[in-house]
Amino acid sequence: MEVLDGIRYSSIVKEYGGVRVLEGVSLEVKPGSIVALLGPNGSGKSTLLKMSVGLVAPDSGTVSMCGVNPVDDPVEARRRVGYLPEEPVLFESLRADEYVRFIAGVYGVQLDWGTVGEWARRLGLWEHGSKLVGELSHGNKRKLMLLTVIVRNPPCLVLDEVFSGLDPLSAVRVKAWMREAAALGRPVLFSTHILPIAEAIADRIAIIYKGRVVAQGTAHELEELYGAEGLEEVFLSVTGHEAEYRELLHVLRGGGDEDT
Amino acid sequence: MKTREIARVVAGEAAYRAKRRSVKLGMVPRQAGAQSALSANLFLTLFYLLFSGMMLVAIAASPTLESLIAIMLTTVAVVAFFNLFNVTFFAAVFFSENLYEPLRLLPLDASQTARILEAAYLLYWGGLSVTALFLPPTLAAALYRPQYAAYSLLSLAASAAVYYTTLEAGLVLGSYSRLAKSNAVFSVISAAGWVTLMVAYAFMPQLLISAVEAGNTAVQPLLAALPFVGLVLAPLYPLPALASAILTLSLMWLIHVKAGQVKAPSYHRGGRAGFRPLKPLNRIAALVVKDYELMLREPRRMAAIFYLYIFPLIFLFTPSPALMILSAAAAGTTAPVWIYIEGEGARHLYELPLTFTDIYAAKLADTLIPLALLSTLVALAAPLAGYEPWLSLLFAAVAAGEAGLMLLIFLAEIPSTPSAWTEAATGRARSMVYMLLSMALAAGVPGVGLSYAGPAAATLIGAVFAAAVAAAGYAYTGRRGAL
Repeated sequence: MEVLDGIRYSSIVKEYGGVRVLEGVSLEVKPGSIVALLGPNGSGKSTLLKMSVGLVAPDSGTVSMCGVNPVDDPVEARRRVGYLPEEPVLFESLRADEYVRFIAGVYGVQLDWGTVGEWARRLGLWEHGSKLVGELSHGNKRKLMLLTVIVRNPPCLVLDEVFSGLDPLSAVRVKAWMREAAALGRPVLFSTHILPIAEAIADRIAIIYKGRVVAQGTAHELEELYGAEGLEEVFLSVTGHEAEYRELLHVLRGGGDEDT
Repeated sequence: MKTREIARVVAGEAAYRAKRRSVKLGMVPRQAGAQSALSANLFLTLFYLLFSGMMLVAIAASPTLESLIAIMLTTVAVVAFFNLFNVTFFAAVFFSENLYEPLRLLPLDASQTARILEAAYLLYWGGLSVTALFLPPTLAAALYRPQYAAYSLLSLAASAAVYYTTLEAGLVLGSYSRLAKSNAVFSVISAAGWVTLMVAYAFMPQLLISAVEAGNTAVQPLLAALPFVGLVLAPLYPLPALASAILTLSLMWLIHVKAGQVKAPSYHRGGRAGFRPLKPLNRIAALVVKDYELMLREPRRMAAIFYLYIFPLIFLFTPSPALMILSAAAAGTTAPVWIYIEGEGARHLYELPLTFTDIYAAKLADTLIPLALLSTLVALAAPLAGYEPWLSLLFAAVAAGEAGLMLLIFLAEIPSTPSAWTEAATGRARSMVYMLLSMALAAGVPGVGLSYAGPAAATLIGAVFAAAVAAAGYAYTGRRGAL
C-alpha cells in the first residue's frame, strides 16, 4: 500500500469525568521515522495511541493517520494503522492460527503462510500455533497480535508497549522489523518504559507527562538541553524527579548513609 | 485462609463470571455468590418449599401406600435432577473460567480443593437449599403416616444419598468443561448433555407424572433394583432393594473417590506445532467462521440454541400449524446467542475495520445457517407427520423474520464504545419483553395470514416480513457506521 502521509496529533485535548488526561498534545511522526513515546504510568500515552484507530475520540484537536482522520473514518484508519494495544483482548476460544486467518479475512489481506510461519518462529510462537488463545501467556498473546500486524504490513505503525513481555531475542527482531518498516517509508510510533530501547531505535523521543508533551527531540538533543548524562536522567528531570534520582543514584553507586 | 472464606470468594467470583457470560441462559441462581450462606440459599429454599408443599398436600390427600411410594420416588428423582443441574453448572463455570488456577497457587491438595468447591456450592451458590426438596416431605410423611414411616425414612435416606452423589458427580462432570474447549467431540457431548438437562427441565411436569405412574405400576420390582430409588421399596422387595443398596453405596464410594481427586484435566492434541495454512476468507466469512469456531467450544451456548430446535421437531407431530409457527419464532429467538458468543473478545472487534452492518450480516448468516438446516429437517419430516410441504417454507420464513428482528433489537442495544457485549447485555426482564413482542410480530403477522388467506399467502407474508426486517436491519446498522 502506498504511504500517503505520516502520523499527526494536533492540539489534542481529552477529559474523562472532568479530569483532563491530555492537554493540547501535538506530536508528529514523519514517514520513514521512528518516534518513541515515553511517560510514566497514567500520563496519557495509551489514550493518545488509542485515538489512532478511533477507539477514543479527542474532545478537541485533530488526528491524522496516513492521511485519514480516525474520527471521520475509523474503518479506513484501522485498515491503514497497524495498532498494537497495551492490553491484548482477544477471542480466547480461537486457536492461534485461526486468529491469524480471522484477522487476514477482516483486513482483506492475502496471507502468505510462509511469512506467517517465519515470523511465528522469530517471535517464538511457532510451537503455539494450535493452542487456544486463552491458553497462551500474556506475552505470547501480545506476540500473536504483533504477528498479525507484521504480516499484514500496514502503512502506519502505532505500537503501545511493544517490547513488554518480549524476550531479548524477540525484542532484537522486532527492533529490526521496525527499522525495516521505517526504511520503507512507514511512520512508526511506539510507547515504551524501556529507555535504552527508545534511545537505541527511535529517531526522535517525546516525553509525555500529566497529559502534556514536556520534551521532544532526538536523544542527543534532549541530553544536551537538560544537561543530562542519559535518557533516564532526562526523563526523571522533565517529570520532576531529578533530586530523588540523584539520591538514588548515589545509593546505587555504593554511597548511602554514612552511619551504616 | 479458612476453607469457608475461600469458598465464599470462589462462589462470588463464579457467580460474577457466570452472570457476565451466561446472562441469556438464565441458569445462575438469583442469589448465587451472596456474602452470607443464608442470603445465598434463601430464595431457592423458598422456591423448593413450594414443591415440598405440593408433595405434602399430595400426602395428605392420598392415604394409600401406593401413592406414598409414588410421591417418595418423585421426590428422589426431583432432588437428583435439581442438584445435578445446579452443581454441574457451578462446576462448569468454575473450571471453564480458569478459577481453578488461582486455587493451585494456594497450599491445597486435590481433596481440600474438592471440599472448598463443595462448600462454595452448598453455602454460597445455593446448593444447600436443595435439601428443602426432600427434608420437609419425607419427615412430614413419616409423622403423618406412621404406619408407613419406614418408606418415608428410606426415602429420606435415598434422597440424601442421591443429593450427596449428584453433588460429587456434578463437580466431576463440571471439571471436564475445559476439555470441551479443546476437543470438538467433548464439546458436542457436553452440549448434548446440557440440552438433555434443559429439555428435562422443560418437561419436568410430564417427568413427574411418569414417576408417579411408575410408583403405581408393575415396574416396581425393577425399580427396587435400581440404585437410590430402589431403597424406597425395600420393605416390599427386600432382595432387589439389597442389590440397590449395594449399588448405591458402590456408586457413592466411587464418585466420592473420584471427586476427592478433582482437578482440571487438559487435552493435548499430540504435540502438533505450527500454524496451519488455513484457507483465506473474505470479511463476512471470516466473522462467521470465527463465530462457529467459538460456538463449537462453548457447549452451554450451543445447548441454548439447540434446545429451542427440539421443540419444532416435537410439535411437528401435533396437528397444529399454529404451534409450528410459534416454535419457528422460538427457534429464531436464539439469534442473540450469536452476539453474546463474542464474550470479552467483543472489545477486540472495535479495534478492527468493521461496521455494524458487517456484524449484522455475519450474525444473520450465523443464525440462518442452522435455521436452514432445521427447516430442511422440518421439510423432510413434514410428510411423515401429515403436513403439506408449504409448512417448512412458512417455518423458515417465520424463523428468519424473528431472527432478523431479534438481532436488530439486540444490536441496537450494543454501545458504540468498546465493550464486552455480555457486560452490556440487555437485562433478563427486558429481553423477555423483546422476545415476546418480536415473536408476536414475527409469528402473528403470517399467522393471521394463515387464518384468513391460506398457507401460500401466509408463507408469502412471512417471507416479505423477513425481507423487510433484514432491510430495516441493514438501514439501521448502516446509519450507525463503524464499530
